[in-house]
Amino acid sequence: MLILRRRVGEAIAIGNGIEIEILEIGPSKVKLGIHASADTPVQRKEMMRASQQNRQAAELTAQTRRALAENLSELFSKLPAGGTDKNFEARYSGHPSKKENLEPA
Amino acid sequence: MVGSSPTLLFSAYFGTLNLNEAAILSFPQGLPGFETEHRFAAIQIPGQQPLVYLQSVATAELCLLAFPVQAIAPNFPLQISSDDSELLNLAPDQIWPESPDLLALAIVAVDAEIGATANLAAPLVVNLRNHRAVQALQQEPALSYRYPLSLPSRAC
Repeated sequence: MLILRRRVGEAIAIGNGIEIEILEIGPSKVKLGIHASADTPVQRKEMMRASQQNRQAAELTAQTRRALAENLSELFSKLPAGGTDKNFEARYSGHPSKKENLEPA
Repeated sequence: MVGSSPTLLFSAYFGTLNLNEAAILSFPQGLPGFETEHRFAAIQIPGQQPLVYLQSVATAELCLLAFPVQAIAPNFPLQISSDDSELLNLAPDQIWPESPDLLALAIVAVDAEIGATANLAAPLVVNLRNHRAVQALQQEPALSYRYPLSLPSRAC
């Protein structure tokens, strides 16, 4: 891994088309400005999983979406009002830090 | 800004829609995976509550299916980071889950192996006061990106 030290206003260049500028340095955060062509995807790394999941969600065909919507309406209509999905409760209640939040009010 | 002028949009699934501006959610950072998509119409179909269709204003073919996380977990432990809170312009009194004008939507996907799943690890949080929305990553490791939905009958 290459390690560089930079000050506010300085930048680094990656390849020919990408520049990353240090805009602001706070006590626990840096603000970066990224210059790249519009077709270069730039995102916070932790968003990659969400991106992938969203792209999968967008792949539904009209027919599948319709069937899915019907099934989901049915699922929700069977859950008691204000009730927790058993599946969620079972998985989540094993987590000590959040257990109290999931107890029925 | 939230106005009352109608927005005309075309959906590949719903046809031409003439929606009140209040039905449009704005994503200041775009939707992850679709960074150029900043505006989605939130559409509810009678008889299909609490499902919410999120139809892109710009792309007729882009339509996601979602539902409020409380539909399966009334005590969903939503956390909103300070960055997300800033993007949503949350007021100090807007606190989950007490505030009625905060909405958290889980996006539904169909996985080849698991079937229908909901993304509980990264719900869309909507500030209903200004219709701004962000996908808010949860730090809680027990929340799944592909939470399996046990559908009653027909497989999807």
